[in-house]
Amino acid sequence: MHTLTKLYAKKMFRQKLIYIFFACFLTASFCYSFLISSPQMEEMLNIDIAIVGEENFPEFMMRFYIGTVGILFQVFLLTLYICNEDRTKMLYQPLLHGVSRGRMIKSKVLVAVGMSMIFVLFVAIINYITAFMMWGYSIFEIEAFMRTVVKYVLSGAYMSCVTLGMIALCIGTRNTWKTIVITIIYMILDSFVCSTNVLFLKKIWMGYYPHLWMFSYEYQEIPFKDVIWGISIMVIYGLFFYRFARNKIKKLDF
Amino acid sequence: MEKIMEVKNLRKEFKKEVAVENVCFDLTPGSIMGLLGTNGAGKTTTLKMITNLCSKDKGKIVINGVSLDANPGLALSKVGAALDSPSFYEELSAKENIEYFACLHKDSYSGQGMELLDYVGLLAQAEKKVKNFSLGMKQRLALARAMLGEPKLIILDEPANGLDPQGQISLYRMICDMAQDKKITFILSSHLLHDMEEFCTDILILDKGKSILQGKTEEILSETTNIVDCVLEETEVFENALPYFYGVSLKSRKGNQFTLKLENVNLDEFIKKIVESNLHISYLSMRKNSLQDLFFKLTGGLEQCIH
Repeated sequence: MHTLTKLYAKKMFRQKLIYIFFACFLTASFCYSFLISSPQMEEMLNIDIAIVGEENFPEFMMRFYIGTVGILFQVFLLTLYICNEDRTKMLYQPLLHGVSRGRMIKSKVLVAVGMSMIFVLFVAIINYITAFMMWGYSIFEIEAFMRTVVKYVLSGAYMSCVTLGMIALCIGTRNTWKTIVITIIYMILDSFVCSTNVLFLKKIWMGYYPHLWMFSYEYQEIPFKDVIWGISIMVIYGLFFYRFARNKIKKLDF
Repeated sequence: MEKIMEVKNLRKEFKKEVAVENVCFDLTPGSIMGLLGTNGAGKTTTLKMITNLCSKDKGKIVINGVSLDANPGLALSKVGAALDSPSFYEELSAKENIEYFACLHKDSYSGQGMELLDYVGLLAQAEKKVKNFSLGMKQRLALARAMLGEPKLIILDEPANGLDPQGQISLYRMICDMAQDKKITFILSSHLLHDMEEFCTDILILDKGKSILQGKTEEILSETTNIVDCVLEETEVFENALPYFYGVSLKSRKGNQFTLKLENVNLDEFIKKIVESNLHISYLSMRKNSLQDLFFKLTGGLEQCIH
């Protein structure tokens, strides 16, 4: 691994925001598992504990992360990681120490994408710990477990793609608030596109696939064809975002 | 003579506004170049183009014999720089900050960071977080960071900003020592004209992006206008003869005290003319032009301030 990548990773994991967020997520996961287990709440939240609890609980909780919470968390973290460094004149410092612009963006992307996958893993661990404490060994029912693992992997792929988009945004706008506002607009557009009837638009929209995997096929196995389609679209978007960020940083005047 | 750096016809436009135009200079090892100019004259943009932080529209930069366009990595491998206001990871200590950047230099050895902190007088504060540092301490830390990897050329943008007078003098002395002993070349951008005059071997003055004066400091100051104060007995004769004195003009007169301006004429030639004209001088003193006089004259600085 390149020295700069290691340094960026070390710096990233010193961000207090990460630990605060996961402490909150752990608390939320515990609270939710208790809430959905009480008959009153079950009725109030209009859920069926027999469906969302036990082995399905980790999948149920995953939706919260990839829906809004995780995206907002990532955007705040990435603006600290890129826009804030740009503002404080720290972004270009490695360039003054013999690092090329290409290497710099590669290291940034590697750390950010790696981090987004690790966060999905953290979410999985938190949800499995909560579910285990609540329902014991029954959560490891093999079929449901394998299905959930696949969904977590796909969520990791989606979050990586979103991360690449956010990096492109940070470098394109070079402004924290613009990046956050555009991300919120993306989330609004995402819910609009996912609920529209225009099939073509859905098919080429990156955010449609996690919706398809998590909601249309909730607690069910995802057909292979839909996995391939989704992954292909995400790879195309990911490559586009990466190329954009790379080209942009090469022409950037600091 | 061997050149560490050659800059030719540098040009940069920002939104159709010319920031730097036709800037050329070259530097020999061990020289200290003072880059002067009013705010917005294009000093920082020039330095950023040299360090490849900013693209250039036109021109050529060769560092240590390597073209910046052809191989930026190699060209900048022996260049250290501290640009803009000094910035660091505020939550890390001085030691952690310096070690962070030392890791990026293949040829830096462990312990170089501490050596450099010692060199800039920050060893006692090495474990202190940078957020608790004064601006002067940050400037010193920035210099230490720029010295990582044993550079042959160091570029410092307003390095004395925030330093107390003692700090400024010790910084410039440190720079002079490094230039003399280690043959490190420096480019310093500053507004401290007196210090630049004292410590820089070369001067480049920019105005509205254009180079308006450049050369060796000594040559620049000796070639330019000198002011002479003199007291003469034959005032009327002298006043009538003055238009025939080539290169001498009257600045002011108070009784028999004259203040004269010598342009492209040295003092010996002036005295010779006085003697030839049978005039008697009872007092004579010469005020040599300072870099500050020259700077204001070239950039219209004082008039701009007054208007």
